[in-house]
Amino acid sequence: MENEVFNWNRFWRYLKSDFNSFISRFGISLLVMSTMAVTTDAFNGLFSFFITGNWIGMTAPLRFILFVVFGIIVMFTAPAKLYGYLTDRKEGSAFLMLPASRLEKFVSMVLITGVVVPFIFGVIYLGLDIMVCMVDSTCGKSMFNLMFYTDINSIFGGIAAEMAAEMNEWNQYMTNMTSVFTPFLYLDDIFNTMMLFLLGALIFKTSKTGKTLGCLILLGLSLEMVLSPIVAFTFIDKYKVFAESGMPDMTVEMFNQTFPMISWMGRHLALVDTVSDTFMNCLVLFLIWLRFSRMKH
Amino acid sequence: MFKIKDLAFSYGDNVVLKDISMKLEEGRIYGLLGENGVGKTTLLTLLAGLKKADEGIIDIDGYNPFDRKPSFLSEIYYLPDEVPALRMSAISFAADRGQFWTRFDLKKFRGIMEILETDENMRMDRMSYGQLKKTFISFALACNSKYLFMDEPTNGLDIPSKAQFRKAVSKYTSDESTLLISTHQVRDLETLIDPIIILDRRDVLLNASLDEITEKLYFDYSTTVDPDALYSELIPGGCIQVVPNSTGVESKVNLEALFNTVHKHKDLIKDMFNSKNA
Repeated sequence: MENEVFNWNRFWRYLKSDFNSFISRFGISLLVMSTMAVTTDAFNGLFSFFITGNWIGMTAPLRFILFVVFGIIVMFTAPAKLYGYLTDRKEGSAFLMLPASRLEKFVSMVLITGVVVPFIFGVIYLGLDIMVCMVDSTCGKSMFNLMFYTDINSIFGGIAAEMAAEMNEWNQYMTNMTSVFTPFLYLDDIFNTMMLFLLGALIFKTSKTGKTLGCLILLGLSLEMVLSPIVAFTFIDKYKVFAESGMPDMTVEMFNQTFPMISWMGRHLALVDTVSDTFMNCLVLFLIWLRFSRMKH
Repeated sequence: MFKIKDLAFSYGDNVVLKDISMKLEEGRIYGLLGENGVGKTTLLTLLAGLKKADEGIIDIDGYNPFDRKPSFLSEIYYLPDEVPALRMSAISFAADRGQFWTRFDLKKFRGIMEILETDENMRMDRMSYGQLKKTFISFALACNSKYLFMDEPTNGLDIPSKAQFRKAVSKYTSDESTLLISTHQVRDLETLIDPIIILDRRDVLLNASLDEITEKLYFDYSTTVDPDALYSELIPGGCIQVVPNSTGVESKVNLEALFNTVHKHKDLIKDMFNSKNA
């Protein structure tokens, strides 16, 4: 008798079917977004050619900003395009009736949304950017090179070094803070964002992306309004000491003693980020499961 | 075994089903009739596990439908009244989704599509509503599932397609399959469905085979009105009357007349057929 909760053969069959559905629902949109590396560079080059008579490629920071912008568009829109239909009675019923377990459907949904979509977008976009940089010498280094090898770290590292030079005793402390600049540390943030928008796609019946975004903004503002006074009242005396002493006179030791928790977090930013993101991911996954497993039509 | 006991379901304060009990025999094509809003669609979605019952038990071969276990889902297929227009061809849809039903037969799908005169290579989002419905009917029958629930399957079908639908169901339904077809258009399915279930909001008024019905009720097509008739209706060339069958003579069941009789004499009919509904 087959396992009713999770069966690898059935899951693999389901994942393939789900992948086909992903191609049919979001394939073209993802392809358009992923090829923006070439499209935007070509537009920029053509525009500059008609204006100045010279082909000028986009600079690395501009290309990086566009990569982030198109990445955000994909992260915000993909979940609703891929699984928004589950709240529709006609299509949602067909999905629920498909002979696969809830867990298999859930895992497939999370994998496609949180892993496959960002991976395909990243690989195509960065791959095309490398090709653009190989063909167009005015572009400089590729984003892949910037992110994973030298320049981004040196850009941010440079800022940290400048600050460290001014405040020498903070050197070690600031160096620790640059640990957050590794691109790998943002993978769980990307996953988290996609899961939040997937949750929204499963909750809202219409305007899924807009409503999710609105809810996240409202939630952020509410938390800010609740937490800010609490933090302020808790640390008000310590802030006074900090403000009176002035930053240049503040030693790392004083800082550690005055704000031990903040100081510790500053020294372990990568760990704090990973732990908080993991907690958030678990929470959002749990909420998605809760919503998904109780879905009715 | 297919058993429903004391089933209740409501949308908020609106009670749709209450104290519904019935047993269904295997290998039959049941017709589920009822007035608008009595909960026919709700009952089908409950049986398919798309909704959770507020109270009562639904037992289909030992499964609770709402658990939606894969082994249960592969034994049923629910064809809703409204079907989605997917962005793929009918044949791709059948090949992709069919793999999840262990007894799905692609050849059979193609055969039914041919009977229903629908192009299997046509994209579903470019089909008319009738063509789309016929694609899903073909798929539903090709799944060879043990239980098939259809909600208004002839809605949207043109006149020739209704005959083709009856032909496809007769030809391609295996003896082991149990079909439960909800419909308002009783004439479309008159020759197909047997037994008949007539549902009321808080009761199952009738759950009987055509033989049992004609054993207890006589459908009289004559020109003279019988004063003892439970129901009579003028039709061109005479009238149709339903009277208690005291002589044991067989007659041809008129589903519309039966439906109206049942609704006019709920308690009497329930008493007459009581043993089947328990």
